[in-house]
Amino acid sequence: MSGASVGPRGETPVPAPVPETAPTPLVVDDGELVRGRIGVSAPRPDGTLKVEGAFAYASDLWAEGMLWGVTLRSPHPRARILTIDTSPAVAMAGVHAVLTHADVPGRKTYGLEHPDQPVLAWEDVRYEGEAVAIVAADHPETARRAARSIVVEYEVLEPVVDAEWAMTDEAPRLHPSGNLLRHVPIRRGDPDATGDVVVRGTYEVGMQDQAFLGPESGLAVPDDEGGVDLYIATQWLHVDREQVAASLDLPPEKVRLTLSGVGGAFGGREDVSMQIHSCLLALRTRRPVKMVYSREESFFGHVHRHPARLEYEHHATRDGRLVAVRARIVLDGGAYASSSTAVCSNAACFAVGPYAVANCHIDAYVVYTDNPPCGAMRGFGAVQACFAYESQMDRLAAALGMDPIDLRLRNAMATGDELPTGQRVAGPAPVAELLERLRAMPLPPPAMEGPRDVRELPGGVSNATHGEGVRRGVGYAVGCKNIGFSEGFDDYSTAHVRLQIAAGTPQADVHTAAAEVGQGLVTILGQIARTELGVDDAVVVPSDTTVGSAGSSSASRQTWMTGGAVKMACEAVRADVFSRVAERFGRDPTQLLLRDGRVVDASGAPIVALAELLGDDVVEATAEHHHRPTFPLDPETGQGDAHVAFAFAAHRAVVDVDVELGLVRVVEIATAQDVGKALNPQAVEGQIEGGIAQGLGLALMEEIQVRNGLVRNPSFTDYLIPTVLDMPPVRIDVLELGDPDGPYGVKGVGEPPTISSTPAVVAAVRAASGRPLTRVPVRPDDLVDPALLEGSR
Amino acid sequence: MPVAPAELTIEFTVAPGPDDDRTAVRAAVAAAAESGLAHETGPDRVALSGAHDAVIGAVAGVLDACVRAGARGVDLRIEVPTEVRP
Repeated sequence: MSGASVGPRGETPVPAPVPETAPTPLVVDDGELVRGRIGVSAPRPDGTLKVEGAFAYASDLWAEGMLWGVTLRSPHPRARILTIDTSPAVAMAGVHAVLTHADVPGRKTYGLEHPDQPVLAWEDVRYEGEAVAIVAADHPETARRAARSIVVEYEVLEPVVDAEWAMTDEAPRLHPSGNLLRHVPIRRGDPDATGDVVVRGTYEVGMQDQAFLGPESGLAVPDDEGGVDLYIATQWLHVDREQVAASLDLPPEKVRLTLSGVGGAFGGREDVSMQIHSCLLALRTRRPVKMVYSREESFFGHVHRHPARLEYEHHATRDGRLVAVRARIVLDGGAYASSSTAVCSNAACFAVGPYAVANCHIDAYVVYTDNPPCGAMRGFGAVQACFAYESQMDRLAAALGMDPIDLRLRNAMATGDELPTGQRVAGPAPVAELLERLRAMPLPPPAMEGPRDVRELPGGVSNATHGEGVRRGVGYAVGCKNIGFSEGFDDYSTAHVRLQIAAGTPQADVHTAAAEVGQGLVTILGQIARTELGVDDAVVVPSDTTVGSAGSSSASRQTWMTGGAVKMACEAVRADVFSRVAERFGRDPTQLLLRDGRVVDASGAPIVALAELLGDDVVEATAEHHHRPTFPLDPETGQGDAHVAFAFAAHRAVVDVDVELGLVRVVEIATAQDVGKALNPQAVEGQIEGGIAQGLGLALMEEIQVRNGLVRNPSFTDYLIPTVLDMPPVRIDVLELGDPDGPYGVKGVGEPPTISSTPAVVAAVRAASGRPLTRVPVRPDDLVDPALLEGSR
Repeated sequence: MPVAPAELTIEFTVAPGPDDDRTAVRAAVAAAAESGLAHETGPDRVALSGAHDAVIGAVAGVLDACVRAGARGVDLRIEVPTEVRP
């Protein structure tokens, strides 16, 4: 790297950016030291730093001589750009570059599945917040003032904001091939099958934000040969590089990405945000350029969870056997494709949930509108469907006069059963066991009679009630989702492992491109290396694009995929070590083990210390881990083995509802989840509790309010997320049934807690309030008895 | 992104006709739109993106439309995403 020195202010330049406050250069420069083998709760190397506020996030990056990049965005959800006058910004002191679409040397659009989103808009803007121009200046405020001075003349058009209407012929075409992005039909069994009892329902899911705490940020540093280094908070380095290189018109090897500290992702960093912009500005100015979105801008800078409307019809026998499910699901994809087509597929595949249903007629649609673009978010299409089908199961139980758990048990999917796509579930599918375990868990004590501590009541210390009008409810839900990439994607991850002697001690260095986004992957990879190589020290070096792709930190896949790659690379290193022992000591390499820094025989007797065996040698190996092939869904019938594996979880929520004020307090959430194998039990619990928090948020408070294409609440003042005061105690029962395809038997852990926690909370609120509650998030107005509201007027 | 990105993307950059207007690129966009695979990728560009055979099958129609509309030339850029291959 040249052109700029990068490092802590006033210190000798180092080869990679570190935070402005330079707390500890552990994260970026040295890799992260992990102790503890699999199966134990090894502490996270980043844990203390994060708790102390000393962790180096991407927004802390700094480089000598760097400029600040800012984006000018459209204020209109739909408009035609007539002119762009950048001259006022160009003339401003301190401004080094002002770029528009004309300055994009390569592909002027990007996108995960289809390149339909402009790097910078040239003629049409299709959502509020679409990027139109970018500025680099020597101070962030100068850059902001310069961006504001750019004059864009728009012809404002009426936005298309209703997904149902967008599918009609009357709606204007927002993209050349029309507004329907994908239709996934699933046809299984008898289309005319009917049951003795039929329940119908229409449900809605609002637009949820990933609400990661670290906003989009990164630092682009140009080199002397026309290339660029990008230090970036992302979920997938290689697919970012592919899109950045295409728009810069550079070969991929001239675009090098290094992962910086990521403050959460949840799907919202799977698409590029400021990656291309910062590199364009850096290459134009030949100076490092840093971009950091504000909280408000972050709401416009990444995709969100798809709002959905779901119409369902469940048919059952009088004894509660599901006969048929018909569903029509419409997802609002917003202005650009992102990963919408895959979300649509998931919504269809998991439309009936973890139940065996012989006759299914499902249609899922995802549609372009002028609303904010939607894409990946934890749960990925399975969340929306789960709210609807679990609401339907409760409705059906009521119609049949059955216990809701008994109804679910009667229809619970088991290993060997088939999804509506015809795919047989080969691995563990412990739906009944999860529900039984949940039912066996003790309930929290009932609410006390008489005066109660207001902190335990809906409304908390706002002193809204002393217990009058408060009713308790209990609700259950169960859900499922795929693990890993699907529909024919060659899903793989790469790992490079080096075993060497450092200061007389064996040390394993693990290098991957996998993104640690807060889920604890670094810890897991270190634990795997320590386990496989029998060493105490494992160093996980920074993730970058000098090693092969690891795929995305999404789809609950990294422990399975990159963990599997690290395991394979370690096995290759171990085989190399054993061959050396065989050659030097004449031992059978199949009867050797690595333990505590030594090679031992099958009885545990030591043969040679690694330090003596290796000396100055380095034993290293690179491995690619692919999961078994998956296949596209048939476009007419939706049949096919589209997924590699499935994860299941069940939730029980207990809530107190103030039915006079519409306030809710979640008293407790209990969950049972099969994780395959808990490589780090504390990390598993963290994922489960975090996922439940997001599920609770969708149930009760989280929604991006969009009115006529305009976002009304782009702040954490107005977009509410659960705090520690909102989160109840979580009772967790972890099953480790071992997936036959996963390394060590692991399954994905991250998404299932988000999927069925939402309908469980809503079911509990429904039970307490008696209200139908067909939309999430549930609003206070939805909870109060209309007669009470009428009486108060 | 649990499914593969488009197998194939072909971008057409259309050099306008003698009048330097956008007739040719509009013709290209219209022809591409009929395939159901079209994405606008710039003021003078359109891309076909999707399954290999579908994209290849639509190429001739787009070329024919913009040349007939007076394009002086058409550049094709072919992209196969590396992330779908081992």
